[in-house]
Amino acid sequence: MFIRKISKPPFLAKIILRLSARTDDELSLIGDFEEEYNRRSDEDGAFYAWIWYWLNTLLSVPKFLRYSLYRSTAMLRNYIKIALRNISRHKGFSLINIFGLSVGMACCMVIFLYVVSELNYDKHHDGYERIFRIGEHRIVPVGEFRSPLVSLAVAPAMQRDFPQIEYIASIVHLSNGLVAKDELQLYEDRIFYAGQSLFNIFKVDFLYGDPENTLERPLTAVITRQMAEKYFGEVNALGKIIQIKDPRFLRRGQSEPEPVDYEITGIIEDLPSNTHFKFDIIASDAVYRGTKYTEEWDNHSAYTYVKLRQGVDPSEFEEQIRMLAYKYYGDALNRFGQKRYYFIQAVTDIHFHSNLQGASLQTLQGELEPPGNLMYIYVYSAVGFLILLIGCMNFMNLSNARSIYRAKEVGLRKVVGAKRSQLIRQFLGESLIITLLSLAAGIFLVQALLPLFNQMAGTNLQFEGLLQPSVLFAVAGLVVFVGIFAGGYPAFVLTAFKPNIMLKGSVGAGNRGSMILKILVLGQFVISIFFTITTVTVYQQLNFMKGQKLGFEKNCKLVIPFRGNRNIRKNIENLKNEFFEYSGVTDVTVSSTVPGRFVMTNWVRFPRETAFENRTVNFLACDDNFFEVFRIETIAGRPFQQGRNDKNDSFVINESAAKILGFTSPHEAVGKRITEAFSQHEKTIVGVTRDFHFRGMQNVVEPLVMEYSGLSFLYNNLSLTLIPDKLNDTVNIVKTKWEEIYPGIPYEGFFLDEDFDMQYRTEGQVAEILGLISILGLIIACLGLFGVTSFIVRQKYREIGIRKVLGATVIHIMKLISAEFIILVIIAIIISVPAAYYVMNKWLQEFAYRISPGITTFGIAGFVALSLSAFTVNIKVLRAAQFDPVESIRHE
Amino acid sequence: MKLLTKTEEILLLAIWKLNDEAYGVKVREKVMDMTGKLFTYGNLYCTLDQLTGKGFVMKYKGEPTPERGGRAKTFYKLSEKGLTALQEAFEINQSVWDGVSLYSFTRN
Repeated sequence: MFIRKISKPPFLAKIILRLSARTDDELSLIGDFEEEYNRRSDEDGAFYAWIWYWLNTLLSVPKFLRYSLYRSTAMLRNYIKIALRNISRHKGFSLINIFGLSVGMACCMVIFLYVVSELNYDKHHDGYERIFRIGEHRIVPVGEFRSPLVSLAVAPAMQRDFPQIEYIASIVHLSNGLVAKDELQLYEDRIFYAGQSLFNIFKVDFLYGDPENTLERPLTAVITRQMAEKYFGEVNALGKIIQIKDPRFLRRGQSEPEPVDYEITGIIEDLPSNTHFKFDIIASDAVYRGTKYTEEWDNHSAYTYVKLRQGVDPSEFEEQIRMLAYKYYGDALNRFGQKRYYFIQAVTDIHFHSNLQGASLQTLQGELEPPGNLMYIYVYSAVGFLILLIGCMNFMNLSNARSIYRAKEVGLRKVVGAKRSQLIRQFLGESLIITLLSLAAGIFLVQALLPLFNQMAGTNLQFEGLLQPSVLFAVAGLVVFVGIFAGGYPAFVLTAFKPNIMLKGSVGAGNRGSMILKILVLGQFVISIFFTITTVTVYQQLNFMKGQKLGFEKNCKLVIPFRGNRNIRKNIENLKNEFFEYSGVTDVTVSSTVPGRFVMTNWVRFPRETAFENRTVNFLACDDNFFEVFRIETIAGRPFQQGRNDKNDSFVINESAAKILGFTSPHEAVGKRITEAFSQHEKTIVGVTRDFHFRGMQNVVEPLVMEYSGLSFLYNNLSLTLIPDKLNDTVNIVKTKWEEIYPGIPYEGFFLDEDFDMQYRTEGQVAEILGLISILGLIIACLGLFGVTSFIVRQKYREIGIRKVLGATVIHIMKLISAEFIILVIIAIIISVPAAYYVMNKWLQEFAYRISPGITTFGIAGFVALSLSAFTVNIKVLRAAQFDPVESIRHE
Repeated sequence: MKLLTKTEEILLLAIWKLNDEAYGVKVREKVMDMTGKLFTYGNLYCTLDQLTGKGFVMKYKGEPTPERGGRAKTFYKLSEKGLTALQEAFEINQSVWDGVSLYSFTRN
């Protein structure tokens, strides 16, 4: 006995044995080991016994491990079976659960796709972190601006001077370029000149053609798949000829650019939507490579991109190129009193963090595409998360409500010996299965919703995007989060109760359970009412902006842009007369632009007490009929008039311009002389107009100076006033006539009112998306409410019966049950109103002219939520209240 | 009914032969005696667990003893089902080996 005492079996081996042997008889097993160990220790000595113990432990472990693995999968199969049984037993609730979750997850996934695509802007290029755009900071006597457009001489000079550059490419936009192929002749807005090095910096997928050698020869072009299909009817257009007319390459004495034949040497796949540089046609820059254009430092026409060599510090590089202009062009800059510095922008920053200006009055805008708004990324992410939250809350709520019944199940399971950990696993397993089912349904929903979302948000998201690693990862995370979050309540709370209490059936019906129930219903309604309020606000703001008086007439105006075509410009009076003679056309005018479209900026100089001052203003050229056609009211002086010397010597300005030029009243401005900075023309102000909204209601009316210019190159648009009753006929006549007179110029007429409202497209998109989301949110919340009510009703079955016996009416019973839910919804309204008010006020700050969300906004949202929830609750209650009390009292 | 595996068959027989003495150590020894092969404890307990699960054997706890470190023995006993299974196995074995003698396999 004594010896046995000191030779204890190896402790570590015992632990290993216990951990690996997860059978019910593990203690007997250890006992067996110990028994044999002790016998051997007595017979052969402690050392031998020790070896025996270890050896047998190690030999046994693999089998034990395999066995426990086998058993746990058997458990899993059991869980799945039970879960599926539970799902099919409570079909209605499972359906509500799965519907809510799948809608939430589908919204989340669509938003994932959107956010991932936005955040990966321009990240598909190889080595994107080494790609930069060169920008130019110019300071001229009248002001300064930062522009992405630099001189064509920059690229060759940089390539010469900086060995850090691996590739450099200049691209030049071809504005108002006409593309012709046989009979087909169209303006294309996304034509650029560039060289081969472009494809070393930006990644494109070549479908046909030699990627290494496409733009080397002059008069070659690379086009996208879409263009090939448009002009050639097939993708493989290799070696075919397309004609491009560039108004800039005009020979002396010509009024119409000659069509130039380009041979197609490459066809590429259409570009992804998340790149800031979208093009349709790249024409070889060999036309001007090596010519005087590439040595001129005073043009600002090229977007220039560099790819730095590996290991080059960008900020050091930026420091080195800063003063480059002074090396080649310093004398001239000093002579003109200008300063010019270069800077760089990471290509991936351009979408969200860059909003540079154009280089001159003639360029429409600096950026290749309007910059993205990071705020909407946050907004959409929050929206996706919140709608998922509503779905989760549904799940938790229904599990909670059902826990009254499941408490008995859990109690029974515990009585027959289920461990708590097993029950937790079972509940979590069940909720994971429901989550996975919802995910499957959600994926189908995504497929259905994606085209709708693409249309609403103007995106081009692909369903295949779900297979990206980052999205897959996020979706996996989503499933785990939802499964644990939604299944957590029954798993952790329900399994903690004592079985004897549970079997009595009093759990869940108690205060704690119903408290959680109420909080969850409250939460759902807070979120969905919040969405409803925001939607109503956005729609109200949109309607407000669309319905606001603009100060000019936009209805029945047909505008035909002629894109600076010289043939037309040369005979502007002719042009007007051509269309004036129709009975459907009552008035006609030409102008540089029309309200709602881009307006140039310029500076004017005007004398103040001691010195001249400069002010930035918007600038518009128009003829004498402009004010008549657009019904713009003059409040002082007169509009331009025929027969006066207006064409050379007058300005008409708006009220805001009069204000910033320092006149105390519009009348004071009339007769004063101001100078337009670029042409240095000094002219007299002959009239002041009332402010009219030449831009959307997001902005205040800015100062505007209008001139009746004799310079024909400023004019770009012909506007016609049509008689309302035969609008379509007249449009057709005008179109036919146009094509007859100007066979080479595509007709691009549009109605001003429609075009003007395009400025509210973003707000319209937000309104539509929010509208959809809030409808979905309300539906899910109401479904959840429906489920919860039916549980409550079932619980109060006997109570209802007894009350009916005692003489309660159906109305009484409806009041009894629905009252507490209606109170909840009212509380939800009270909570969400200030939150929504705060958020919407922030959003509205972006608008110069805005509504203030008031009683109507909250009234509409509150009414919708209240009536929907009252309706939902009462369908169920009504049915319960009509039951025969005999049945319900007997019901057990 | 599914056929017993050889291991199951041997274990069931060992338990039956041991009668009231069938617990871990003894079963293992019996198997050793019968087959000359030593089962690892892992193999033994996992198979016993499966046999219990299938309802071929029942188990009951014995008294804890000091030489077992105070741990009780788990005794195994054939159930009605287990006995039927053995009966069946016997019949199958007989018919499978019918007409076969030890010398049938020698290659002379």
